[in-house]
Amino acid sequence: MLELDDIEATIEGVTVLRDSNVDVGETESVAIVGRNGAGKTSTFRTVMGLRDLDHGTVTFRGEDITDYETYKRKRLGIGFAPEDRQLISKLTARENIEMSLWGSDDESDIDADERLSMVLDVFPAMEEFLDRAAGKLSGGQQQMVAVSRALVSQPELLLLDEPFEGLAPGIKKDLRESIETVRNDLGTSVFIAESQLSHVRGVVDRLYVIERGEIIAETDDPASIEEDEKLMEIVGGG
Amino acid sequence: MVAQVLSQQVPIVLNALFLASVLFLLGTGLSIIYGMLNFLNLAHAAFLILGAYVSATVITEVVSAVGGTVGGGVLLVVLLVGLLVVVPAIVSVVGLTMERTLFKPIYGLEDDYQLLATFGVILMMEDGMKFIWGGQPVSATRPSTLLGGVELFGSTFPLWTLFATGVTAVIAATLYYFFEETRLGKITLAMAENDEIVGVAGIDTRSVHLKVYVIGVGLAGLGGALYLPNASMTTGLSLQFVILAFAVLVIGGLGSLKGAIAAALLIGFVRSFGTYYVPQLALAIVFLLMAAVMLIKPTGLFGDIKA
Repeated sequence: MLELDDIEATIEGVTVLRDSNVDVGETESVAIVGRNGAGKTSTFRTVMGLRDLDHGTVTFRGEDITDYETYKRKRLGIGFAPEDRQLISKLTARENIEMSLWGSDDESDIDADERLSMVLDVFPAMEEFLDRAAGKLSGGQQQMVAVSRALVSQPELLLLDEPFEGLAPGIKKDLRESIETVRNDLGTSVFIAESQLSHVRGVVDRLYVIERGEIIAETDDPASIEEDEKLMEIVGGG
Repeated sequence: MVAQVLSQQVPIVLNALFLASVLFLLGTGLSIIYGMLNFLNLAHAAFLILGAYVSATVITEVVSAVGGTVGGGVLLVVLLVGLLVVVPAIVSVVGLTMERTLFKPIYGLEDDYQLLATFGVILMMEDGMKFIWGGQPVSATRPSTLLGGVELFGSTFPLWTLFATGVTAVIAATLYYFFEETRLGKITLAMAENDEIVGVAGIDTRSVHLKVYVIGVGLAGLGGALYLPNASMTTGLSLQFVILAFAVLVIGGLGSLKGAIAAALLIGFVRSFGTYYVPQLALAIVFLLMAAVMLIKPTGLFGDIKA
């Protein structure tokens, strides 16, 4: 479904992605794990067209989208919940979520209430703060809204950048269950960027380890990473 | 005695409201364009001047074409349509053409480069206007004379100043509705806060940029159209207007409609009463006001952007 081929990117002369190759299959759940600054967010920003590439291609459902603008990539079916949530503080939680429908090509065919019900099924706790300004929500509440905003347009691929960052343990557990629901019940492919392996253990089918912009390991048995001391130093979150 | 004082003060108040109206139309456009595009456009005030010059032509052409064949009421309606609809539309088209050719390449540059480049655009626009309309100040008071005056406290006051204030109040209410209730308004607010995430939501931010830019330039053009029937205009006023427009932005707070209204009124009254009582300090008082606001609340009276 998503393929990143030999992508390389630099910021102010510093290489942040180095000849990286990543792919995510249909209804697959994949994680890219590495330390802060390793290139996880750069990888996601590259997928969304928010970071220019020096070379390489981004392909989605067989279509080369390397030169597409961000809004076109979303309309093709890529939902993105960025690091730090990035909600619009002046808009309500409901408006932040519905904003993703305002930019749909087939908006007239979309029943906004039905879509909202769908994300409320995933995050029932949102019901009580839907009409509150996003800037007044707690971190956990904001995370639910950020994921819902990416999910409400029923993307085929959902990118979650550090979704567990700063969440209370109970909310982390709920979010893990929600990610599984999204993948299993809605058939959405999920691509997660994380700095700690423990957050995605049991949630993903496949895992990439990234270090200094380079993919240094790939496995379809995420548990096997735990046997590698060197990799655990990187993904252990310590 | 009271009537004498009022007959002296009322024109100053009307003048203040009139100036506040023009500054609100100019400052709001500048504020939404700067807030959303992060584009510091000194040349924005030149669109107000352009609006006034185009208005002079529209008034002259309409009066010469139909002035002798229709009654005063019909002529006034035709002139108002020309000033309130045709002039902002023409200015918007000119603005849009300039956006595509001159401004687009300087988006994303540092503020100081934008200031220098758009200052150059002011000079270019002023010379362009001088080339088309000549270097002399223009005036066209026919709409104001057709609208007439109102007798108050023994003196006659032009109704045009009240009309301009009324039109501006309607525009302010429409803008309030636009930002609070319409989808494009909410997207505009969202883009002012984080345009990247609006693109991530699938919204074509470039298209929204253009729409908001056209609205902003159209408001400046409308400001010029409302200004001309009450006062003469010359190209040399661009800089004075842009300074006052930035004062609206600084005093009111970036991206705040309430702030723009409050700041335009404050400046309008300070400038009008200043011009009457201490004319040599009229402009300086506005800057003192601006400095005071920057010292007390750097984000402006209603601004919440972090300094």
